[in-house]
Amino acid sequence: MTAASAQATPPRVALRGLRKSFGTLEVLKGIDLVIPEGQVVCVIGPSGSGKSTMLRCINLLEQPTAGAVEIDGIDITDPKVNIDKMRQRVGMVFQQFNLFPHMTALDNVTIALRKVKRLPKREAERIGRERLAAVGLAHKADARPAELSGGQQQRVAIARALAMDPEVMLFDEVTSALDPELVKDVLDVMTELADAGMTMIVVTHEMGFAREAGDRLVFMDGGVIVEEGPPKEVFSNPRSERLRTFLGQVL
Amino acid sequence: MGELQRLFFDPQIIWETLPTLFREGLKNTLLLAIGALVIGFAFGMVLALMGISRRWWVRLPAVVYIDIFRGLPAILTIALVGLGMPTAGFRPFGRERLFYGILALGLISTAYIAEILRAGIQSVDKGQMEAARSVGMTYMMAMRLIIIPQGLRRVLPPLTNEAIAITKDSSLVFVIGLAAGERELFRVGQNIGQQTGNFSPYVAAGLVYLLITIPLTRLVNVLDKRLREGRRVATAPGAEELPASVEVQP
Amino acid sequence: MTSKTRWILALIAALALLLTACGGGDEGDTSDGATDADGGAEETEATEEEVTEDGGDGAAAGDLGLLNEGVITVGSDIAFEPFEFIQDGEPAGFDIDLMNEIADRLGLEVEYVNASFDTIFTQLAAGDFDAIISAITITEERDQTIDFTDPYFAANQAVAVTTDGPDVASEDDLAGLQVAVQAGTTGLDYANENFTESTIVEFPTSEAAFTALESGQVDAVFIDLPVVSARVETSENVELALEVDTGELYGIGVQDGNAALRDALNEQLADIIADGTYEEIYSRWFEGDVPEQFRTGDGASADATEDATE
Repeated sequence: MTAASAQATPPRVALRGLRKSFGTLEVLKGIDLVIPEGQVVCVIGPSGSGKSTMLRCINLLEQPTAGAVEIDGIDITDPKVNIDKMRQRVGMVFQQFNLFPHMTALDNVTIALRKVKRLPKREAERIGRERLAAVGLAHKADARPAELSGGQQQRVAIARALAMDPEVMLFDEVTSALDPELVKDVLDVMTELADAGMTMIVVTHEMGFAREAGDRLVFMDGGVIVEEGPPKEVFSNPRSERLRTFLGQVL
Repeated sequence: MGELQRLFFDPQIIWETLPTLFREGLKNTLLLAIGALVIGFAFGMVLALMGISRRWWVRLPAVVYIDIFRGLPAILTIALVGLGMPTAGFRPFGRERLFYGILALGLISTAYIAEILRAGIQSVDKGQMEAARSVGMTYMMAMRLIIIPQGLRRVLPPLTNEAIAITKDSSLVFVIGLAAGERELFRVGQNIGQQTGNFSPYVAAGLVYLLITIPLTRLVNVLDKRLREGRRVATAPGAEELPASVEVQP
Repeated sequence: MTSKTRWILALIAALALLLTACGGGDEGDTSDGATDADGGAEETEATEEEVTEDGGDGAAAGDLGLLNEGVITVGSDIAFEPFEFIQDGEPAGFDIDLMNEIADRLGLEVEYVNASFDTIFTQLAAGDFDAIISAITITEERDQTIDFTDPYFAANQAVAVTTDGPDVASEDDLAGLQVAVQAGTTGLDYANENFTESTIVEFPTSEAAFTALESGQVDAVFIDLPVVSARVETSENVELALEVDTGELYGIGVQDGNAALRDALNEQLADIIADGTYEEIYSRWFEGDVPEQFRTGDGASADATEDATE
């Protein structure tokens, strides 16, 4: 790819001047972030820094108060944009898993394929089983979420998001609700995904994962991006006072 | 005490009232109740969704409707619909009196069911809607496939209670006038009571009502218990991990 | 407790007081005779009715077998407009006026005892009253426990239609029509027995029945003549189509075998009809013409009584 054509292709995700207020409380005070295809961005910061809010703006679960959110160059804050269609390009995994409890694991994964993408049942199930196998849960296809451990549920949730073949995956503190011994399996899945070249934005407290799997570390505090850079550098040489304090607390 | 037995519990009269109760009364009571519940569920669902809208001008008509039809006594609503509508020239059912009754009861149960469904829908975790939207479902799709099925399951006990209530309210339809063949259980009891100068037909009618409502009450209890205790979970043999408790607070 | 709680309690207490005050409105001594003879009778209250002696025949108490000298004790279910009901705390109505007139002419005072219609006959037979008047239909069954005077009222029924409705000149014209009746009335029974080609629709009140007529939900209303007449007066698109003599006659009841009292009552009744007083009393309570049997000059015929008990 020449330099010229690399510039012509819009980045996977671009946040420009992103602001978000809840009533009088301003949570995001101007975020600018450009994420090219295939980059794995890990977002860290103290609670209340706005990391989750920023993530949720990317698939418009939160409506920005100002600024633009671009997916492949399309500003999804534009009311004329079909947000349901755009969301097919952005997969999200939640801290509380949010699996559909009244369906089996396989149905959780395939329902959007059948109803949103209108795929025939057989094909949807084929894709579904592949995705479940990829996260190591092929044998749990007919289990209900209540029968699965937290780690298993989260992996099903990842499979569900991946089934739609998104271009970007958003992870909102996906291991924070898990018992420690279950965290590794989920992180392994995420690492595999990163190695396969998925564009990922990961809000996390797992510093180990950030250092090993992340291409870029973003530190947020007080609604702004304070510092960012390659994880190994940022961890060993934090430039800002705030980051140093934060790292002192968590590491 | 003997008077009590003679006037209320005369076995002969009760026995003789039962055939008419089953042949005519039960049929019409069920017609009224089931008709009302079908209407109530369909329109109640619409009103419930209107009630959770973020736009005030969508919510307002729902709120007003529910306030009115929950606030008026059922007998009044039935009279207004069955007697008032034709008087005003509005006769969608011609002279089919039972249909006016079904409409009136349907209007009433819509109000109650709307509130029940709304509570059920709102009790579903917000994360469910978020997850559904995240995979590209529209609001309506998410409602239909994810939220409503869950919400509905939770409110089966109050919905069953509403079924019982409407069955009992159907006893008020006599105020709009009924012909032979159209009479519901209470009217049959009342008629035969007047003919015999005895109250045993009322008691007989009561027995048939109980025949409908007691099984429903039992059903409510079973559903309620199931919801609270959850279905029995099958643990996979040789599972390396125990089933998780999802409600983990970070 | 909080001041809010106190307010609520005060409100409840006030309401309770208000309700008891309303309930105990009637002054009354309980008459001696009105005890619960067979467990089914309600609480009875006696109401004094002062009737001035107007130069009547002053028959002695002993001759008529009265309970109290100079007073005729009359039992009645005083809750059936317009025959007997409580107005301003006193009994009023057609039966009341008629009874007062008869008693007046006999030189007697009247004491009304409110009783339940269901037990009024057994109470008379037990000697609680001298006579009973309560819109009582003369029937053979009842004639076995008590004696009736001559009929004093014909409960004729009538068919009402809308002015642009079907023509009903005879009972046969009701075939195929939807006819409204009031539940619990003898009109209903008559309709069910005789209008077999019609659809009989029962309503809880006459008001509801007429509403259905005027809104086009039924073709005709079959109900007491006075009720139809009253409605015709007030409603311009309702008209009287047909008067139906169902043979229902009202009588005053006396104890079985008390011929003296019965004859005395009959005599006064006949005079009242003959001299036009009946019509005057009738017009106080009912619209329209007096039923044919009681028009001036006809007199109550003994034949009518026999017909009714056949």
